[in-house]
Amino acid sequence: MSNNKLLTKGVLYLVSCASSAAERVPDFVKQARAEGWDVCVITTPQGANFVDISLLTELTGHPVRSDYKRPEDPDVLPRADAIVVFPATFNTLNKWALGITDTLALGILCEYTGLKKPILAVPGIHTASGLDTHPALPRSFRLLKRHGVHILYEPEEYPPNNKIPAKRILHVLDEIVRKSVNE
Amino acid sequence: MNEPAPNSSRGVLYIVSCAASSASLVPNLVKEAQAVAWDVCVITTPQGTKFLDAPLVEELTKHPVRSEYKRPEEPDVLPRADAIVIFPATFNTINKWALGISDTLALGLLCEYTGLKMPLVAVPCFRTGGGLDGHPAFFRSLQMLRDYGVRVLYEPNKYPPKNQVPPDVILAILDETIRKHTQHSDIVSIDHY
Repeated sequence: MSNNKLLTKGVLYLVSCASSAAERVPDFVKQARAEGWDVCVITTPQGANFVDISLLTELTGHPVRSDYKRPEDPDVLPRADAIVVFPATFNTLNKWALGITDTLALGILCEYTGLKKPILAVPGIHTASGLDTHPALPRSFRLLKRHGVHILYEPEEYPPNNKIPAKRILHVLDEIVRKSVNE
Repeated sequence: MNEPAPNSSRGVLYIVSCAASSASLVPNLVKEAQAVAWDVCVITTPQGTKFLDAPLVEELTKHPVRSEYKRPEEPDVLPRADAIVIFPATFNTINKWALGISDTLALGLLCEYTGLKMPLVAVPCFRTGGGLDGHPAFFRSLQMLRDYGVRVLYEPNKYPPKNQVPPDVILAILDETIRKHTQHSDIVSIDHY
């Protein structure tokens, strides 16, 4: 996995949260790289339990980060041109909308939201679990959309947990990036 | 090393220090506060411990630096505060504080003293244009805190690049805030929230 010269789209951060949908992260990474993204994976601390860190490190050629660095440590990841949050959990979506940055993943999301960079969130929440009908969720979606974040949430079409194929996520991301360049 | 202020006639001042590089300026703020007769105690957030020279601060203040909730059976090691300065305040702590999320000792104290309508001066310190200052939650939280009666010192254009307001200005604003508090402690209606 070292054909970095073919990664012409720029740097994509994949922020992965604690959801069973994270099992599809390696496949997403492969497809994103195949389309020309230099992918870096960041997980929430809980999300680290749901992915194979060594596999993702090998696939991306970048360390997988999940905790804030110490002030004296250097940044190990390049800056991102776009971010996909997949899977996004109820907890991270709500904290992100409210500006709570008590994990590295949330810190990055809030920072890039303020910078108005292209961000696409794909919730990985099980339909009828209860979380999907908690009133905070639609409120957070509204806030995030108002902040310029794009949300891909089509739970009826992609049961049981908004299981949207990687190809479609990447296609929507391309549209968002194109629009942000034109703005 | 400085002796702690022999004259602590103003009472007890808590300085709440969060996880920001500006925490390196806390020892100086401590000294300046002591010089104007505050008995200073420093509290940090758990992440803030990485940014603060706690042994130095303990030596200056003669109080332990606390960063975690105590166990229920343990005694309080700090005297109650007469006022609080939050310097440096982070994006995270400002937003959680406004929302009443108190999952750190620092936030617990801030929320408690907010409800008690004590004099509180918050100085957010992070880089202008870094992104966090463009997240709408931040300005919403600053407005909420102001409505709760907190004095927010955020003038990033005057104090670039991180709103590192000098200690003498912070302490002067603190005095003004205390004066106003003793004159009238009526806070605007917050039913709205």
